[in-house]
Amino acid sequence: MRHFAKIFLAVLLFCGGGILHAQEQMIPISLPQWLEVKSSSLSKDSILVGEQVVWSTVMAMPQQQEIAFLPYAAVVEAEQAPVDVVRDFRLDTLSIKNGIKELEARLLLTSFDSGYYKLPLMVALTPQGDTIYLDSPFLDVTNIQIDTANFTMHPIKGQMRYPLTFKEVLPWILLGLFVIAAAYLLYRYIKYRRENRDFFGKPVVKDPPHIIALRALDKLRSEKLWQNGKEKLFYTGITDTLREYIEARYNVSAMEKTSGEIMESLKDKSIEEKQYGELDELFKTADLVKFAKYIPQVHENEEAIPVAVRFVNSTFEQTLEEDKQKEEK
Amino acid sequence: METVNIKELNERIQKESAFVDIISMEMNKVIVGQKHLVENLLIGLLADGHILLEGMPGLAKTLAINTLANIVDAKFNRIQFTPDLLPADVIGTMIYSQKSEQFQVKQGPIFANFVLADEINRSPAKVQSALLEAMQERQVTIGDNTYKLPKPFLVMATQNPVEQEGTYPLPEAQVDRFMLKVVVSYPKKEEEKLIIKMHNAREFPKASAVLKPEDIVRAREVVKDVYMDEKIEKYIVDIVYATRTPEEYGLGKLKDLIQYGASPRASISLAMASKAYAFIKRRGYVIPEDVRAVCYEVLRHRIGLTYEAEAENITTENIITDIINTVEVP
Repeated sequence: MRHFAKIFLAVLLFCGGGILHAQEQMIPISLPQWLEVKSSSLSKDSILVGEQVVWSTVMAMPQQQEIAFLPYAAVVEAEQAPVDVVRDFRLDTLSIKNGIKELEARLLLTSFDSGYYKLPLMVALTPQGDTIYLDSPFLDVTNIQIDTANFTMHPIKGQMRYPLTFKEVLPWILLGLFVIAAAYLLYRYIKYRRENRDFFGKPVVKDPPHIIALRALDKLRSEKLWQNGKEKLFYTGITDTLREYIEARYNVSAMEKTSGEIMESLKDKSIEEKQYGELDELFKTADLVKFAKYIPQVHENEEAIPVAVRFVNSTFEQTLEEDKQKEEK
Repeated sequence: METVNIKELNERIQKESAFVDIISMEMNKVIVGQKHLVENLLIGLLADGHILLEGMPGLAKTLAINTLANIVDAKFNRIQFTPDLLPADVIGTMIYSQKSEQFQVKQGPIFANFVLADEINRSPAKVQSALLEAMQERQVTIGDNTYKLPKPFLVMATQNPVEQEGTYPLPEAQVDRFMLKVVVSYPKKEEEKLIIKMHNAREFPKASAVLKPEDIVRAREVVKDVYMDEKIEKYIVDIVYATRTPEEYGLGKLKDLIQYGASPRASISLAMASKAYAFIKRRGYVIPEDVRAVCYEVLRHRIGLTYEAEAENITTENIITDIINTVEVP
């Protein structure tokens, strides 16, 4: 069928003009004997300007007989008919019985000019070289009657809302889900962080300040800084560790305070007099080392970390530790 | 790498700074209270910086600088700034002598070791500029000749925080030339009672001249030798930078309150004033306490506030407090 259609189109291009020209001269409609047009009708006899109408033609012919229709758009254009082809011929086989096949040719048409027209004839070709003209119905194209006496202006209607397809909505759904998921994860992260838990909800075991301080002091001791002439680094490390510990233990912003201010703020913290005095002395020595290039004696260096450790051990929050142990029991 | 013998320096400073106690003792004979003012006068004197004083009238500002001049046995002049004052009234001028039939130089009151520029904001900009230029250059040009100002040369300018009508506020660039801005407050009740007693006595106490100007010049050299560790230098830079870009120091709330931050001259002044403070405390090295002790005086006139800050009654002192409470101490 396709092969035939190609041949037909080639022939059509060669002689199409002549055929169309012949229509203008009121060609008599004569059908071959093997072809029977069972029905040829429009879905509506009358349409409004711009409305669409289906032209359906049902025909019967022997099963082996081939037939091809000339594109109706070409016919319309050649005849300059006041109709437009929305969708050209669609040929379907309806049934094959007793060697007879029934075909249906469907066209979708519209018109933007009002009037009563006879549609251009349908043109078909056979492999034998015969040209067949099929009769066409009348189409009434009407305008909307406007009552000019009682006419009232209406605003222009808004754009017609076509229903959204799932494909169109899908990216927005995914974006929404992503935002919801991100917001949930952020909320969970903040909540867990406040509750001192990790991302998966497991409680983060944070070492108490005195453990952190003791660990840092032990590390400083093992680094053997003063033994290698790095007294400044050694004392900076000790004081920084102690300041961090004091900040965490007593809630005193020790990192932003001078040694004198730190000692002043520790006065009312019920620290043993001996530890307080030792810490004061340690800070003073550290200040001398840090800011005055003071090189301490060996015994001062040896005593520095033990003094810091004693201070931490004598001031850490023992009550809390006891409470924790009780809870664990 | 620079090597500093701190032990030797400390001993030298202990020796050289002995006069600080004598000055304080002599000052206390005449000035009751105002320890803060006296201390800052000494810092300015030792750090070779000028002082801007702000305080109500009658708070012993003039008496303090006069007493200091007496103690140092130096020349003291007072210039009362008025709207009709001319630059020549401050720096001097050329006067035609009929006797010698020549122009002679008449040096102005600025040629003194201690100059009190009283109510500096009462004079127009040209007079202020003449004084501030002399303060900066430490020399004055009259006619074709340039004259060096005596050493030590300390200007103490006063501003009255009230009666702002008809005044010419010092521009920011000129205020920056004062090393310290000291706010003088009222004495305490006990101190005021003592002041009355002193004035009711037959003879008002007088400070003795215990120093020569040369001693101050020599002491200034020693102050320059006071050791300042890199950590302290970094601390000073951090404080000054925090006035410029507070958001970098976790002080984003100050960003909209500060119009402009302190200049590099502030860093220099903060370092010098800290050294002088350490010297007064008879130490050969600077510790963070020294920086914090002079921080307000050095920075309060070098930070510009925005309209938002003024509308919210936020002062430069509030800003400085926030900064020193946030910048990490070495």
